[in-house]
Amino acid sequence: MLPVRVFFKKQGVAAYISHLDLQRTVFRAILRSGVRPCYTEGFNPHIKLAFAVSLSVYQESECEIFDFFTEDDLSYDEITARLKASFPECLEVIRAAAPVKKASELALADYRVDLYTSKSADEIKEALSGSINVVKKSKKGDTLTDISPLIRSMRFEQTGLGVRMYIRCACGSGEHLNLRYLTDYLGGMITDSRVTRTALLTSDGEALV
Amino acid sequence: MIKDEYLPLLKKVERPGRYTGGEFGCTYKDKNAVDLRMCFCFPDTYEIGMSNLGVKILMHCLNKLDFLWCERAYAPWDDMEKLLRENKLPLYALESGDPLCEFDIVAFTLQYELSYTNAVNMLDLAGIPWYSAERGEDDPLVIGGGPCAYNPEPVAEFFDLFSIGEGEEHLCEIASLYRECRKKGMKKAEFLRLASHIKGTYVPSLYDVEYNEDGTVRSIAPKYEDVPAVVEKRIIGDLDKAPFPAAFEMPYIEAVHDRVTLEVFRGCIRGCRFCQAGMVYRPYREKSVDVLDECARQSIAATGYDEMSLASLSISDYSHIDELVDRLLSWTEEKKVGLSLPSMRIDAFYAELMKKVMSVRKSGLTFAPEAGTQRLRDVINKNVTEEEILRSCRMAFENGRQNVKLYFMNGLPTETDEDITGIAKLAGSIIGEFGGRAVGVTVSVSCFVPKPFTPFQWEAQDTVEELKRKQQLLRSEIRSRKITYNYHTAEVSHLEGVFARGDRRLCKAVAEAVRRGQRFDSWDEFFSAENWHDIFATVGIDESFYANRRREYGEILPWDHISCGVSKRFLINESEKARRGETTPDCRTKCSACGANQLGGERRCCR
Repeated sequence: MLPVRVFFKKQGVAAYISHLDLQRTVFRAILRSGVRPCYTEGFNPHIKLAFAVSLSVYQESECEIFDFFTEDDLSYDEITARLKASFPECLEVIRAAAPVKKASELALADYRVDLYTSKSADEIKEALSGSINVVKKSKKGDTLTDISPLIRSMRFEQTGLGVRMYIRCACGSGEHLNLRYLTDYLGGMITDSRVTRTALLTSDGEALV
Repeated sequence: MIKDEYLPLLKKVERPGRYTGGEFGCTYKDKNAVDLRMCFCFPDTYEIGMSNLGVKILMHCLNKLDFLWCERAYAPWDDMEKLLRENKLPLYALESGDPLCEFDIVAFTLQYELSYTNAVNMLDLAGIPWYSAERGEDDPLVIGGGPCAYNPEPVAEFFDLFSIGEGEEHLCEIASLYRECRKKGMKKAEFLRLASHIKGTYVPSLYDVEYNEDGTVRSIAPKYEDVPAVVEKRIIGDLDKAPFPAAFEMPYIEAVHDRVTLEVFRGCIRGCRFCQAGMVYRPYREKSVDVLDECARQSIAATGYDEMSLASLSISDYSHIDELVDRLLSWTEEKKVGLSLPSMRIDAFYAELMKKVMSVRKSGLTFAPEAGTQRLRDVINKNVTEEEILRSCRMAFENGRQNVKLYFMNGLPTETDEDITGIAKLAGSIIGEFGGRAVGVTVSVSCFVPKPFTPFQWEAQDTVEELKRKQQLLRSEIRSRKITYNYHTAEVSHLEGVFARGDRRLCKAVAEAVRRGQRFDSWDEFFSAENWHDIFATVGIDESFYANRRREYGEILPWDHISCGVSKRFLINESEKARRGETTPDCRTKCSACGANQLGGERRCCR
């Protein structure tokens, strides 16, 4: 049983498919690749596969990760080549490799956020200084939460179309910030936004490999 | 793939994955390097269209032609339609993202009558003139096919030509001819005249239809001598040699049938008298086990699906069903591929086959007795006995199923209230057999719609009031809480009934409906009986003339100039036998000389 960590991008039209749809697509792409995956035991066996973290619909990523196991005796280069051929263009496989760190070490992520706006970088920066109170919906009802403690750093740049932000924030099974809360918070100040995850990191800021 | 200018729309619609394109398995070609660009349109949602095997087969055949690139389009849901119109963006094809109006050929598959409004609306969204007569030399050629093309008259004025029957070869021949004609600088009209000489081509504009004073058809006649008086359907002679798409577009979002569909045979040996498919797909032709096994292996490998269904009209009638299932199970179990056999006949549903299939995945079990009494089952030639129904259900329950679903129809010819209450009695006796156990029966009742090319094509459809009365009667007869009762909306079946046997005069009703914003008529969200009554009244169409009128055998029917191979003499004979409650044996037991054998075909069972 060979553990395989797959690094892939989720870009372009893939931004419009949900996490559930992504899972189904990935299962089928693996089965097409001819790399035989390991299955769970039990009455209704399914492929043993776990994504490091989900990505919200409308967001893109240059650095997604899932882990699975294969029962085949193949080199990681061979696995990489086969997966590259069997994944759709908008889900580009970067490489398959042996996992070095535990997926549970994921704690931070970097994002690049393009804001389509007539506001200046300084105005956006000003709007995001201090506490950022957003309404979080849950089964227990709506709660007002300050998401600013989840943000580790922010950087702003003026671009032709508006403002580009670089954000590092909490990500993973513990603390987690969905960037949609931030773009929703900016609401009226922007006409549209494009969120791209650029790195998945451990708590000390090292890449999850 | 969808173009950038459309992207902002996607954040505002439900299920944006319907509109992106870019699926794995799409065919891309250099648009400047092909002579013809074609768009295959499915006039319903993406999820339904992507489930259709016919579209996959035809796209595969067409894209094998190096001079042609065939792409796909589906009907946008109303949220997307609204945004397209607001932003003045035309409907586009999913592969190139180019608007449909830029294509040379726009093809529609007409799977059911209630998608007619969607088809015309798609032309509108693409900026293509609706009517064939209004389209110029630079507009796309608009063609249609599929089961509704056997009576294409209610949409005849919107289409330049129809492909009648199985399209694998025919569409390629049409495309080749169109390419040739355009190279020679010929006009569309010249092309259409030549196309009419290709077997299976129906060009509505080349026929004159005249009516009698009572509204019936007086004559349907070709305008020119060289145009065939009767258009005979096309079939594929040897299904083993028919092109099979092992790989195809893989949807990101879940399609209705999201699995490999293995077509085992075409046609049906049974001859149920209400069933259009059972008549128009004749003669019965099989694929061989070796070919099917190879197709299945290739398709599972190329798609990555872990489910496969054996599709045909009555799968257990396949002459080598045991051998086929064994061959498939020999490798599907190891690959963890689930195998499903829908459309099993009750009589053929014997224990061994059932156990085999159940060992893979426990899917729902559905049987179709169609009618509640033996008398009526004999009238419709559904040769199934109550004993067989009970035995099948017993097997299902003994093998661990807790629910079976039974399909019935209301409004069948000669139906009495006793036949309706018979449905409740039948369901009750199934429950009674297993009194102590927690088993359930779902009774699903649709409304009978008489269809062209069936022995019931002359019958009057029950009125909406009568159908509703029967539905309520059945409701009052069902007393066990273990029986779940579902029934179809009578008004929807009525509309289907109007269009199924309609003539060319219905084109103006379709056009008026599209103008008024009727779409997705098979969807509860959009169907409106009141709107349709108003539409028919506005354009002067008497609905009951089409739906509720009994025709004489001698009447010229609007589809008499189309032939599916089954003779009118056979249909009349079957209709008479139905009246007498006599059954007809299946084609394997005895050939009933329906006439379809003259079309040819390998591995068939007719003489």
